[in-house]
Formats: sequence, structure tokens, C-alpha cells
Amino acid sequence: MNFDKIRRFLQLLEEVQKNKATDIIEFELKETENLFALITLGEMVGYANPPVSITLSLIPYMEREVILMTNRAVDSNDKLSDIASIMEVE
Amino acid sequence: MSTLLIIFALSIYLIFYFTYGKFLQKRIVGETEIEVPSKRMNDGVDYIPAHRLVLFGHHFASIAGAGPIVGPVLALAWGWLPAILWIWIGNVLIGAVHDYLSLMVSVRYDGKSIQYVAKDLLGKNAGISFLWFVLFLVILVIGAFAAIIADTFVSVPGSSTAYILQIIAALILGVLLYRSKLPFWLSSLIGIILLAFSIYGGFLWPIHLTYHTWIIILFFYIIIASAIPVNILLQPRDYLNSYLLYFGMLVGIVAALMSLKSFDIPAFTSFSANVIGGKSTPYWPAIPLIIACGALSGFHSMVASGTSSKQLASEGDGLFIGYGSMLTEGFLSTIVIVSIGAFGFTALGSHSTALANAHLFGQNYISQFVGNLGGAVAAFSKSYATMVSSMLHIGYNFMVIIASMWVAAFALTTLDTTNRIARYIVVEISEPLQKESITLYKFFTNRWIASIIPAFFGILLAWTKKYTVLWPAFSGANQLLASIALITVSVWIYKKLNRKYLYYALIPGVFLWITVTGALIWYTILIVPGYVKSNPLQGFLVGIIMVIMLILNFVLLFSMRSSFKKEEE
Repeated sequence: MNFDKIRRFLQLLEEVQKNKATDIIEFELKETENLFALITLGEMVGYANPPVSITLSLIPYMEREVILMTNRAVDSNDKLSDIASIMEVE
Repeated sequence: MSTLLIIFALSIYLIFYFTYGKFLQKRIVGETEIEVPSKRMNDGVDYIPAHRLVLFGHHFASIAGAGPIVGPVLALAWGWLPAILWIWIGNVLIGAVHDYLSLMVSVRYDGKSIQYVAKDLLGKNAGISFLWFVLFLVILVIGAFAAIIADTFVSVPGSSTAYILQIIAALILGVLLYRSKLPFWLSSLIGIILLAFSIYGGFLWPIHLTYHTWIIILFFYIIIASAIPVNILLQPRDYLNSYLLYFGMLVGIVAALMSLKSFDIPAFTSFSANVIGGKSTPYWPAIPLIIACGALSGFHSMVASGTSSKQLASEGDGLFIGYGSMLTEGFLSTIVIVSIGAFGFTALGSHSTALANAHLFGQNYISQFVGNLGGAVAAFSKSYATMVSSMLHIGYNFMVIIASMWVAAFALTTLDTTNRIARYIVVEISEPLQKESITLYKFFTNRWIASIIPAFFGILLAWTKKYTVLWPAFSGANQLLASIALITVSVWIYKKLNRKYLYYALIPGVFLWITVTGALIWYTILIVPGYVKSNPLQGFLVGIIMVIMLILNFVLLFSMRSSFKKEEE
């Protein structure tokens, strides 16, 4: 039981140490996901879609992307602080 | 004295955290029925609840850099007592309040940024002023930090080698992490061994180059580093840097606690010591232009309202993250004061007659003390290394390289990340151009042009080597951001929370506004002309930036006035 607690504490410390670095990668992943959403759902903003057979087969994977895309559309002009909290300035 | 000061600082921070901090939390911010954005809007990516320790680590790593180290080093010209008093008082009453309240305002605004909230509460002008302040901050920070880094590389040649080797170590770590199938712990271990080796390499093969050669190298470094994908260099290096930060802080605290040494430098010199550009500088209002990040910093409002507010697991954690991490940063600045105050003269070696008494110390500290030690970073590194090596018996030269690399690595991270931020702002600011001239818009928003503009102006400023002139300008932009954030949160308290508690944010906000505006007017009238005389191009550039910032600052004050008036009606 105690070992379990110690192990959990060590895991937490590792997470603390890794979190900042992981966030930077996550940020880039998010950008890539945005591109993915744009490629597959681009018609909404005026981009030509890929052939229907491809978009249709992608739809089951897109549920989360649609939710994220609507969230991000709201925040799209408000990214400065997001970038600032991942990067360091002083 | 040194040990007492550390214990005293710890007590102040703890007492204020549990009294004033808790008061802010319970009375001003209060509780709400609505769940935090991380839970209510949980999407598994942007909005996601994080463990308070994890979020604290992230928040602290984002706000702690070279700033809280360099500022206090320069401020010691007034004596250690005025410097430490500003760090403590500014921190607990203004800086930490600013960080905590901007985090909470963002939480109540669905995790929106402070710039968005400012636009919402104060009007469009506030949002635009915000962007311009950040752009100026970015250009000035590149100028100030490039000058400080080049200075450090010249005076501690080993740190430049160590830093170059660290870049190689980061590149290798990047490959190990993302291109190989090695387990994470093994890649990390190899990374740490390589980091240790790079410090040893710095010890073995110091690189001797001139200041201006380093400045040119830094210019190309900024452009390249800010253009390559983050996972190749920036991210693995940031990961390695966090080891340096925690190691440096931990060793510093232990050594400072054990030191039991009286202070060699005077407690007080004069209220008009020579600090900025070699001129007699009044303690008030100039102090926030010297000690920025250790006491308060506007940039933190952006960090707090960026990812932290979207990942806060409960409103109760806000105090620990916002208030707590700012106090920890103040504690870092306290260690800087203790290491130089108690061990600075030992590091300097000789008691020159120019520093013989308090008055002379105030006059000649920057030129004779900091200058002879090799600049602000080297002054800290050498004093810190003296402290650690005499207390913990770790080699002095080794510690000098570790400490200078610690600060230089943070300052360098700043250089290439600021350029990424600048790129974003240049694009945002150019948006109105889209209607006027699409060619100009395309020119400014081009990836390379938007990178080169801030890097070019920053490096141009660094060329003059006068970081003591640039540093206050950077801090000024930073503190103006803090005053926008504080004014925004006071309007928030007035409009959305309890009007009774308005003054807890408004008084620090207005005090800061008056102080920084006064300081910048003083700086523009007395320091800039001398700078123009010696370096016309750079002097004019800084002068123009100052004048624009001052105008925007008054626009902001009027926005606040009309915002309060509207509410009355």
C-alpha cells in the first residue's frame, strides 16, 4: 500500500517534470489536427473537399474534431496568451 | 544574516499566502456554482483538468526565466535592503495579486485570455494597446537579453561552449525521444548525462569571441531557432533546462540556508544610486523598471490566462497556482540578493577603493562591481558559485559554468520563443492592412519577414552593448502590461464581483500606473537623449517606442475612466 503511494508520488513528480515539454508537443499536434479538420471539413470555410468516398470514410473519426473545431473557431482570435504560456519570455 | 534573510523571506511568503492570499480567495473572488472551464468544457485537448502540482510546475517553469535573476543584480546599487523590500512588498501586494486575479478572471471568462477580457471590459483600445505593448516588450527583450547573453559569453567563455554543446545534446535528445524506440526514462537519462557533459565541455574548451561576433551569431540563431519545428530543438532543450532550474534553485536554497554569513555589501547606499545608463537614478519611481519579474510582471497575466486557466481543476487550486508560483519566483530573486549580498565581494576578489563606502558603492556598483565581474549574469553566477562551492564543496569553476548556463539558457530560450510570439503579433497587428493594401499585408505576414523584423530591431538595439539602458525599457513595457491587467481585473471586480473590494486591485493598479508612467517619463527625458547622442539610431528607436507606449498608456487610463462611468450610468 505504501509502495503504491510512493510510486504514485514519483509518477506525479515525473509528470510535473515532463508537463511543460509535453505541452509544446501538444501545441504542435493541435495545429496538425486543425489542418486535418480543415482538409476534411474544409468545405464549411470554402475549401474544396477531397472526393466524397474519402470524406465519408473519415467521418466516424471526425466527431471529436468537429467539437474541437467549433471550440477553436470561437477562440481563433485569442491565441496570444496560449502561445505565451507555452513559450517563455522572461 | 544570509540564513536569516532566507528564513524571513520564507515566513513572509507563507504568512501572506495564508492570510492575504486566502482573503483574496474567499472575499474577493468568492465561490461560484458554475464549474471550472476545464471540467465544464472538457474536450480532452485544450480544456482538461490537471493535477495542481503538474499545473504549478508548468506555470512556474513558464514564468521563471532570466528576468528574476538579472533585475535584482542591477537593483543592488541602491543597497540590498531597498532591493529586497521591493521584491517582497511588490511581490505579495502587487505581483502575486496580479497573477492570481488574472488567472481567476480568465477562469470566470471560460478560459479566455486577459487581452480578450481587457477588450470586453475596457473597450477595443485596451486590446490594441495590449498587442502593441507585447510587441515592444518582445523587441526590447530581444535587445536586452541578446546584450546580456553576449556579455556573459565574453566574460565566462566556458558558458558559450556549454551552451552550444547543450544545443547538440538537445538535438540528440530530440532524435532519441521521437525517432528511436528507447524508453522515455532511458532517453531522459542520456539527455541528463549529455547535459552534464556539456557543462564539463564548457569547462574544458572555452570559446573566446568578441561581443559583436556573438551578437551576429545570435541574430542568425534567433531566425533559425524560431523557424524550425519545436520538437527538434526548443522542446527537448526546454526539458533539459527545467532540470537546470530545479537543480540550481535547490542547491541555491540549501547553500544559502547553510551559509550563516553577514552581508558584505551595504544595506543602503542612496536613493539616487547610479543604475540606469550610468546616471543617477531615483529609487522611486525607477525601481519597477529594474526589478520586474521577481516582484511583478505583466507577462505573467498572459501565462495565467493562457493554458493555466483552461487546465485548472478547481477554483480552489487557483491560489496555489497563481499566487503561489509568483511567491516562488520572488523567493528565487531573494536567493539572488543573498548570494551577491553575502558572497559578491568574495567573488570579486579585491575590495577596490571605488567601492569603499556606501556612497561610493551606490555610485560605482554597476561599473566597478557588476562590470568587473563581467556583467549581470556573470556577477550572479560568480557570487552564487562562491556561495555553493564554499558551503557544499562543489568545484567553483564548475558551478560558475552551471549558473551562467542556467541563466543564459533561459535568456536564449526567451530569444527564440519571443520571436515566435512576435511573429504572431506582427500578423495580428497587420490585419487592418488587409483592407488597405493586400501587398503590404502579404509582406508583413510572410513567415520570414515577420520573424526578421523583431529579431532585426532587437539585435540592432543589442549592438550598443548598453543593456543597462535597454533593461529598464523592457521592464517598462512589461510593467505597463501589468497595469493593464490590474486595471482590467479591478473593472471586473467592480462590474461582476463585489464593489466593496474594488480597491484591493485598483490601488496596486493605479500605484503601478503612476509609478511606471512617471518612471518612463523620467527615462524618456533624461536617459534617452544621452542614448541618442552616443548611438543615434538605437536611441531614436527606443525614444519612439517610449513615446508610443506613453500615449497608449494614457489612452488606457481614459478607457478605464469611461468604463467606470458607463457602469455608474
